[in-house]
Amino acid sequence: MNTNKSVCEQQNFNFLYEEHIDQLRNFLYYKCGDLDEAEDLAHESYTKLWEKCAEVVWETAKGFLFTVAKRLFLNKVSHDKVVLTFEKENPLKDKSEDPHFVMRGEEFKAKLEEEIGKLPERQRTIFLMNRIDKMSYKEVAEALDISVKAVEKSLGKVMKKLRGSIDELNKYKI
Amino acid sequence: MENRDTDTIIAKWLAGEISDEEFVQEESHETLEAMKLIASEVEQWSIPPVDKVQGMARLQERLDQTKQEAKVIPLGRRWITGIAAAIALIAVSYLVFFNSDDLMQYNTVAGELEVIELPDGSTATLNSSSSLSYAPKSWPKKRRLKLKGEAYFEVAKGSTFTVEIDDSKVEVLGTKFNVRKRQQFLSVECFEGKVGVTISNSDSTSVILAGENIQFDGSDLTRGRTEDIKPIWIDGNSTKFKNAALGDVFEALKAQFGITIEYDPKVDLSRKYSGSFVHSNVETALRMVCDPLSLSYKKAGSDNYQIY
Repeated sequence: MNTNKSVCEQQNFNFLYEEHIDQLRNFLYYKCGDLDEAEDLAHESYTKLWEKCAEVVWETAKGFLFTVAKRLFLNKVSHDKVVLTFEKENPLKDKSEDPHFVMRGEEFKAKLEEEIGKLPERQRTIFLMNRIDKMSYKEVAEALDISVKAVEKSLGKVMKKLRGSIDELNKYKI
Repeated sequence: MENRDTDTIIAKWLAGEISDEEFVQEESHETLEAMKLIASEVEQWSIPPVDKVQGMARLQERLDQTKQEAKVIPLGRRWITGIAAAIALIAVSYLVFFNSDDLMQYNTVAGELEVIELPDGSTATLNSSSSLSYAPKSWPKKRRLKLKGEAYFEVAKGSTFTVEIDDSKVEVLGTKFNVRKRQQFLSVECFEGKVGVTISNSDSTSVILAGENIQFDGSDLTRGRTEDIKPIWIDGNSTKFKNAALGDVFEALKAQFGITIEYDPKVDLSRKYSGSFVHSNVETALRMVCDPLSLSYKKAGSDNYQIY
C-alpha cells in the first residue's frame, strides 16, 4: 500500500481526479439536479483539495472531496424537488411480462425519475449513489459520514416509497 | 432469522446479502416482484461520465486562477513544468504584485474556516460565510484590510494595522483580537494588547484592552469582559457568546450553517444571550440558542427556519 503518497504531486492529484470525479459529480447532481452546476461544484471541491493538499492525507482525500462538496452545496438554496434524467442502456429490453406490471418502458422510467426527484435529498442521494454509481453501502456510508445501518434504512425506505408509487400508477391503468 | 425490520431486509436483499426465498419468507411475493421491477429498471440507467480530458483542462484553468490570488505556493506544487515557465510566472506575479492595485481576496462558505497568512507574518482566521481582502501593493506601508463577517487576527509587531468593516474600523498595534459584523451587529473582542474601535465613522474611538469586548447593535454600545484566550469558534466545534444581542447570535447561526431564518414579530432580537452552539448539527444548535430563552423554532423549508 502507498501510505505516504502526496496529494500535492500532480500525478497523484490527476489520479484522484480520474478516480473520483464521476462519483463526486453525480453525488452533486443527485442533490441539485443540474449537471453543469454539479460539475462546477465538483471542480470547486478539487480546487480546495489542491489548496489544502499538504494537509490532506492520501487515504482521506476522497472523504475530503465529499465533505467539501457537501459544504459547498449547503450554500445553494433550493433543492427540495429536483428533476433528474438518466440515460437508459438498452431500452428494448423490456421484461415486464407479468400483466400486473404492464407499463411501457418509457412511461415507467419517467414515473420513477419523477418519484426519485421528489424524495428527500438525503434518501435520494443515498439510493442513487448505490444504484447508479454502484457504490457499496460501506462506501456510501464513508462518503456521507454516516453508518452503514443508516444507509440500509434509507434504501429500504426509498424502495418502499417507489413501490407505492408504481402501485398507484398501476391502479389508474387498470 | 434475527429480528430485522423491513427497511433493512429490503436493503440486504438489494445488496444480494439475502436471497429471493428468504425475502419472500419475510415479505410478500408481490413485494419481491415490485422491488425487482424497480431495481431492474434503475439498473439500466446511467449518467454520461465526465469528459476527463476536458474536465481536467477546465480544472487546471481554475487552479491557475486561484493561484494568482493565493498566497505563496511552494515551487514543488506547481503544475507548470519547466523552469522557464516558472520564472515567467514569478515575473508576472511580481508585476501583478507591485504594479497594480489588485486586491487579494479570500472567501469562505458556510461551515468553512480558512487561515490566511498575511505578508508580514500576521495571520487572520476567517470564520464561515465571510470575506477578507487587502491590497498587496500598499501593504508594506499601510497594513489595511477589509472584512465582511467574522475573523480572528494575530498581528505581528510593526506599523498600524487596520481592519475596516463596513463604515467602522478597528486599529491595533501587535495584538490578538476578533472582529465580527453581521447585519448591524458589530462585536470586537481583544485577547492580547489593546485595540481602538471607531464605530460608523464617528469622531471618537473606544479603546479596549485584553480581556475586554465591545458590542454595538446599531444604536447602543455595550462593554463586557471575556475570559477566553481566543475565540471558541477557532477550533471549529462550537461558537460561544457572552451577553450578545440575540440577533447577532442568529446571524452567526445563519453564517455557520448556510440557513435562512424568519422571526415572529414578537421575538425581541435585542435580548441578550450568553451561551454557545455546536457546529455539528443545525437543529441542535438552534435548540441550544432557543431553549434558554424559551423560544421555539420550526423548519419551514429546506434551509429555512422560523423562530417564534
